[in-house]
Amino acid sequence: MAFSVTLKMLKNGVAELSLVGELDASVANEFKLAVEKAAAENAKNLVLNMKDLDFMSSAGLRVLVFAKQKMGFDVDIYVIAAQEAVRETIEMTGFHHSVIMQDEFIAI
Amino acid sequence: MASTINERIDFLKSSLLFPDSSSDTLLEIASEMEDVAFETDEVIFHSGDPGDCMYFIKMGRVQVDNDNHNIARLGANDIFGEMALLDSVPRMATVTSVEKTDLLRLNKVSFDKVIHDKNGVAQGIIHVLSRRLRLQDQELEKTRNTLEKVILPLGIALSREKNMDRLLERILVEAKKLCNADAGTIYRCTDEKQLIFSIMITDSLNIALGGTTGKEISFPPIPLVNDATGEPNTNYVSTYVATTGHSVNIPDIYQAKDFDFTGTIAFDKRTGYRSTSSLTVPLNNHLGRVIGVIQLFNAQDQLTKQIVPFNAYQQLVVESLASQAAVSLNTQELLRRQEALIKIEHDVQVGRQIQADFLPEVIPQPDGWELESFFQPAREVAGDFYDAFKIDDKKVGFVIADVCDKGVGAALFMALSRSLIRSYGLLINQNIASRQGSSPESQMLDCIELGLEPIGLTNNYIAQIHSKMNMFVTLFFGILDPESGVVTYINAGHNPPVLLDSTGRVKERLTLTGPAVGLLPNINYTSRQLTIESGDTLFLFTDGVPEAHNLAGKMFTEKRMLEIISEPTQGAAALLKNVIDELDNFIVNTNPFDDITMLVIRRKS
Repeated sequence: MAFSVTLKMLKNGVAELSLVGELDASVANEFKLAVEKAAAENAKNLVLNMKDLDFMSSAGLRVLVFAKQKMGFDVDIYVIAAQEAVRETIEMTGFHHSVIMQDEFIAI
Repeated sequence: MASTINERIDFLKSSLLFPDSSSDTLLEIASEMEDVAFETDEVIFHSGDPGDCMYFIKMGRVQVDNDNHNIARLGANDIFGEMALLDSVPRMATVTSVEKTDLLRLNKVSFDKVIHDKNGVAQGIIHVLSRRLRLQDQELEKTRNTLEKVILPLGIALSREKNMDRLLERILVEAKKLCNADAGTIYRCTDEKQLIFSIMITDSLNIALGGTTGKEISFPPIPLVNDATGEPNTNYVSTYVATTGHSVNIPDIYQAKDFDFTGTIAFDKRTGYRSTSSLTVPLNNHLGRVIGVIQLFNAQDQLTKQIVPFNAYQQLVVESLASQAAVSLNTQELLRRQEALIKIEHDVQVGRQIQADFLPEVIPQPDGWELESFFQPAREVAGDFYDAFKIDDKKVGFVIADVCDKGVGAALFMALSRSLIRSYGLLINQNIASRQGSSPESQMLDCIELGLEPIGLTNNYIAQIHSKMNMFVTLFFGILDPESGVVTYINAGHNPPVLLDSTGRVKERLTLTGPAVGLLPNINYTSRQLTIESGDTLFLFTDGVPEAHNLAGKMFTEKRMLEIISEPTQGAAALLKNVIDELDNFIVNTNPFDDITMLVIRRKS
């Protein structure tokens, strides 16, 4: 399915990015631009809603790494409702240590 | 102010319309005329108005405009509007008084009477008209010549000028020539949002600074943005033009109310110069952004050498020349990109060669073991990598890795890693590296992470990728002792290899012992061990296998991969072939999405 990402600023400085479809190298840049926009809004937390994300390749993972570095190491990144395949990708590379994986967003 | 008949007759005599007319005729015409007065800036008639009279200027000045272009300025003793009397077409131009003006008006009815009755008048008119035509013809000829002999060849020559300084200087010199301007300045916009003086020429004062003269210009830069308000600086003509992209044509700077000319006025005081008319035009690059400003001063009339305002035509010419800068910049940019592309293409070939050289020619085959590999890069230079090498008489090191990236940078990185891993393989074996506290494996991975930095930068330069920091590597490195079948390994975020028994049952997945390299800072990697028994097969793979796409966009999936490798086979080579065939059938004609790399290690039964 076609990839799309939408940014919504929630209260308390939380930026929510909803990802839909398949995230691979050809669309990774869209995701990256959205992260940059969230960073520009000085978000305190980044919530990645992956409920509708069917697939994430290593290119998508690279954007997650970018996000972690761009937002600063004191900004928490939440990965919400990741589907099995996406969760596996994140866990397989060990990146789940860098993000907070939840089924529903609860600020920590 | 009313005029007397005699005054009018004098007027008529001096105008060229009625040179040979008799006194009676002149008297008749004079009595038909009317005095009309206009204040400053009043429209006398508009273009398109019906024409029913002609005017003689007794005193004052008017401006003739067509389509916002100033055609002419007329003064005492000039006539205008006479065409409408002869031709019955609407006015072809708009005439406005420039200052208080007194006119004599002769309307059509009276005029018709006069021309009807007096032959001489008709002749006088024809005389005036043909002179007009001749003048116009001359103007046209001049314009054509200028276009053909000066502007067009200049355009061509400018588009070939690669040196920006010389190009700008030429534009200034030619613009000055074409407008007969005494002085000119080129400003350039800097990254710090300022205008700096780049070239300055004042002929009558023999000043030539900047550009190819090599002489420095001591004037300070002018800020383009007001520091306090953050608003664009529109105080000076130069900055106004630079920030708005609009040209400004000023007849006399001393009369100009919209801009600050203190700098120019100070210069005049110092040098005895009198800056009068100025034309300021923006210089754009090929993206339409203003990169500089060209400003000309004191256009001179060809014949009288008097200083006159720049006219609309001259403005057009200077704007046209200024646009040459854009054309030239565009050409330069295109050439630069072409060169970069050629370089990248060359580098890709080099990268490919580097990579080919680094892949193992021969994989060690310890007694009782089979090691097979398969490597299919998606593009010319891959992000996947594998290696298998002897560490000493017995032990064999093997690696499979994936730089989450492709291209030359990835290949270079892989080459580096391969060398590191091979050296460390030896070190680990000799326990030399374990002095510092963190394990040798960890230290090796630290080195690999450090290796990411210069490679990442190289990658940026060559492949124009945005940030090196996003690079990371997933990597599985194992050391096999063929006698015992023990494998000591590190899995840094890589796809967990599959251990199968001789029936094809999955015994174990070798999951991660640490995150992918480059993902997180300061990681101490741990290693684990497993034993490969007789008949067991260890299957290692990269993303490219489960993520292979078919035409419909569906993925191969790990599930399918596991199914295939679970089918019992004669040996490692056979197992690989099964997977390859299945992949081929699946992918068919689609271009492979990702590099496909596989390594199979089987202990014979």
